[in-house]
Formats: sequence, structure tokens, C-alpha cells
Amino acid sequence: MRTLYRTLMKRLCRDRILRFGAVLALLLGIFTAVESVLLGGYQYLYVQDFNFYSGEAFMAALLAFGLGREFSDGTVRNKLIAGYTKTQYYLATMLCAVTVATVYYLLTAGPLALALIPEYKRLTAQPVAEAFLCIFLSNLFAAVTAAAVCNLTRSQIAGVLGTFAAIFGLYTLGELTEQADSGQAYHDVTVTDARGQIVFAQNGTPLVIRKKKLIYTEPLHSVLMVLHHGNPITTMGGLSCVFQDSRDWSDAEQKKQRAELDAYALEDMHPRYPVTIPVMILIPALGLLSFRKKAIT
Amino acid sequence: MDYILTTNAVSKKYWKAKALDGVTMHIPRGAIYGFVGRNGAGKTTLIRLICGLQDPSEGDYTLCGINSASGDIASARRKMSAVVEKPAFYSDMTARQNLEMQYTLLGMPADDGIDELLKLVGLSDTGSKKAKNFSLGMKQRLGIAIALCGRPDFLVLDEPTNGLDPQGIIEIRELILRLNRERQMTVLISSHILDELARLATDYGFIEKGKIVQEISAQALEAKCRKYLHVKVSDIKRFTNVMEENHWDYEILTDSEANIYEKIMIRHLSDALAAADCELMSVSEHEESLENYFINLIGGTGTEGGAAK
Repeated sequence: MRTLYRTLMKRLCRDRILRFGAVLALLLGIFTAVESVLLGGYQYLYVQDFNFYSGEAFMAALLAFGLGREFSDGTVRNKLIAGYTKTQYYLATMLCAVTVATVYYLLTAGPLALALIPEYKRLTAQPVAEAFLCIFLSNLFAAVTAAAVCNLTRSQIAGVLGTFAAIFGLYTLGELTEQADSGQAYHDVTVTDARGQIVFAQNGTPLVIRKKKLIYTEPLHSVLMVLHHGNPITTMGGLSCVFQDSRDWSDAEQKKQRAELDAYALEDMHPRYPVTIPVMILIPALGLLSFRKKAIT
Repeated sequence: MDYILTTNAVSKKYWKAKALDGVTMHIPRGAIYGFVGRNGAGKTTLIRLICGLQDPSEGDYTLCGINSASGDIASARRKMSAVVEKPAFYSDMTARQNLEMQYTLLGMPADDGIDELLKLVGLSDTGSKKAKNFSLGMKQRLGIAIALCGRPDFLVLDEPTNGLDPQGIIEIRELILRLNRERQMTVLISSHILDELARLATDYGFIEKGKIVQEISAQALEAKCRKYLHVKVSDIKRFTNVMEENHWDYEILTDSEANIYEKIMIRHLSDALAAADCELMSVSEHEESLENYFINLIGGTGTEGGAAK
């Protein structure tokens, strides 16, 4: 299967459209890093969301386009005739998805990670690491979904369209489950510092704000938030974090902020969640079953 | 006899329709096997099964000595290759790049005979031309070149001359003959163009409505399709004696009818039979073409027994 994976990756690397996509991803990463450094504060959270989220969807679509060529050119037949099984082919495409997601992640989040170097001394390591982990997880899920949809549809065009549908569908499902429970579109949780400046809102990307120290209430909360929200694609760094300038807040103030966040966290951890995680597991599983069962034309 | 492929009552069902129904066939090693059938007879379905693109509903097959039910059939497929329906290649790559990709897939070093392969199929001067800009014949040859990358023992070609002009057909035919002669490659060619197969095949398998109607060697088929006299006589025993005395090739059909596979004048035949007190009641000359043979075999609407004179 190693040679099959190598062949598929070689093919993807030769695809001009994917190469162009890689260049765009790097530009997006540089742009996001520059914005983070320039903007800081509350506003950048939405920018980050947009950059990562929309970029991921296109990364997934390009991957589906690249893998879909195997069906449009018919070269998937050559793989099976050469002695590889359908399961091996499917798993090889999943490995390709992981590779592409990793490359995309390095290109988009890498510049941001480098831009944060001056801030690392101030930051608590764990939540930052978890934030980046969540971004990687969302890239991964998007890529795996794209590969699964492509194999399910066995068509380049249907694969691309299906990937968009799946990703936006998952997003919508996540939002709907959130609305069903909370009765509102967003959790209006805001945390302000001693100066009344908003340091945290919603559950957006909790990366650095200039000159603010990042503290964290619960180590596993970020992963749970991803699961709760049901769709890591929308959570991006979905952490409940508080940015605090520790020089301004007293111990009592910190405790108060933590208690508020804990309450928020507990409120969100409803037993009905998550809905979309099973769907995210179901899509690749269904893809494998269908791929093995149906004929390759 | 050593068979490179045997199928054992292979069936394939799509919902209620049976595309293949208990197909049992035998492809001798080293043969060029002409797989003949009408459109929709099940040729491509069977080829897809043995190539691993589909699974049979019933039955099994043995490829290069390995049974499909054994779980090790993938290793047997390494010794075969195929061009199924239309040739599969990366349309945005050159011929050389396509072969390099196939070599990578097979785990072979990239410089191991690509030039020879391109020369063999007549694509060595395509340079940087992308495969999507090839002519139909060139695409077909590229598909065959990709199939030949792993130096297979068994090559399967599904209607390789479809859509080709006469020049293209000749090129493919000569390529197949060369592969069989120089590399002792067994070739399975499916087609409904019988004249083309007649110039190539050493063995035939006729399929109709998902069932193998007949398997026959080219020699036996030629014998059946040659010119003959169809006679009706009054005494078949005396007729037989006359045939034996004159060492004439003949075949008894019924107790009053026979075929004579000799070039003899009807007057001589009549005289010989009269001398043996056997009356020649009717005589007609026939020559069966491969097409007529096939049509008669499947019970179609061709002329009965070829052109009768």
C-alpha cells in the first residue's frame, strides 16, 4: 500500500490546480499571521475564523478535485487491475487526505505560529497548543470528509460539490444542535478585563492578544468543546479561554472569571451533544462500505 | 493443458437481471483468445470480474494457478494486465509521464525499459504532447503500453479496435501478434468484429446472453467454416464405403445426409456413387463465414449454412 500511497501523492503533487491551491494556502497563512500581529484585540477572532474556515472548505474541495481525477480519467481501474484491493485504495486516499491536511495546516497555521514567537513567553503553553491542535483537527476532518465523499460519488465534479455540501452540512448541523439546546444562535458570553475591555467572546480562536496573558480554566475543555460543538470545522480553536492581563486582575477577579467560564462550560456540556461527530465518522465509514461493494466503472 | 485462466460457473446478477450465467471457460497459456459476443452478451462484465473491478455473484475463477476464493488473488493479478472499455491514463500528462506513474504504482524503477515500451507501441516521438491531445489510436496504444508496464504474462483487451481507423486496427493487430510471438504473452481479446479476430485468434469463446455457447480452437473453427458439399443420398453405408475408398474427407450428419470436405467435381462424385449403387438425391455447395458460423451458433437471423450454390 506504500507504493499506492506514493503514487497517489505523486499524482496530487503534479496537479497544477493543487499546486496553485498550496500557494494560496501559504498566502492565506501569511495574511492571517500579519493580521494577528497588526490587529490584536477582539476583532481579529472573526478574521481568523473566516480565514481558517473558508480556506479549509476550499482545501477539501481541491483535494476532492485531485482525487476525483482518478475516476474521471479512469486510472482507479489501473490500481485495481495492478492487484490492489478496493480497501487498500480507499485507505491510501485517506492517508493522502491526512498528508494534504497536514501540509495545508503547516502552510496556513505555520506563519501564524511563527508570528506568535515573541508572545510565547507570556502565554500559557497548554491552551495555545490546544488551539493549534483544534485547527489541525478541523483541517483533518475536512480533508478526510473530502476523500470519503469523493470515493462515495466516484466523480470529480460530484466529489467537489459533495464535499462542499458535506462540510457546510456539518456546519449547519452543528449550528442547529447548538440552537436547539440554547435557543439562540450564539452564546453571548463575554469576559471583560478590569478596564472593561472585552478579552473573550463566544468560543472563537483564543490566540494571542497583544500584551495579554492567556490563562485557561480546564485542560480538556478545548477537546470537549470540539466534541460538544460537534464540528471542529466551526470551532477552529474552539476553546473557552480568558485573556487576562494578570497585572490588572486580582485573584478574586480571576476566580470570578473562571467561575463564569466554568458555568458556561457546564451549561454547554449537555448530554444530547454531540450530533455531528457520529456523522463525521459515518461519512468515511459509508464511503468505505459503498466503495467496496459497488463496481468501479 | 496449461490454462492461464479458467472460470468455474461464474455468474453476475444485477438486481434481477443476470449478466453472466454459469460461465465456464478455459484460456490456454500462450493463446490469443478471441472472446466473441454481441453487444450486451456479457464480455465486458466477465472481463471486469477477472480484473477485480467487480465481484462475481456466484462461482469462482483461477488465474495463473490461484483461485479467486483463496484470498491471494491480488498476487495473481500482478501477472496480468488489462485495458477495460476505454484506456485509462492521466490526460494531463505525457505518454512518458503516464508510464512513469505506472512504474511507480508497480514499484518498479522508472528507467527500466520505458523507452523500449514507447518504441514498441509507436509512441516514442510524442515528446511533450499531453495524452488528452492524442488521437484515438494513440490513446489505445498508450493504454496498452500502460498495461505492459509490469511485463504481464496475461493481457486482457476489451474491444481494443473500437473506433479505430483501418490503419489503427492494423497497428493494434500487429502489436498483439508481436507480443504473443516475442514475449509468449497470453492475450484475451473481446470483440464483436469477427473478421478482425479471425486474423489473430488461436482460440475462441462465444458468449451469448451471459452464457458460453462454445469454446473452440481456431483450427477446429477453420475446419468447420471451410467449403463443403452437402449431399443427400439413398444409402448412407454405401456412401461411406465410396468415401473411404477414395480417401475423401466427409462427415455423416444423418442417415441420409452428409458433408464432403473435398474439392471434387460433382460429376465424379455422382459417377462414384452410381458405381456403388448409391443414388445421389441432392447436392449443394456451401461455404461458411465466421460471421455466419457465429450467427448460426447463437440462433440468429443470418443465412443458413452460408452461401449455398
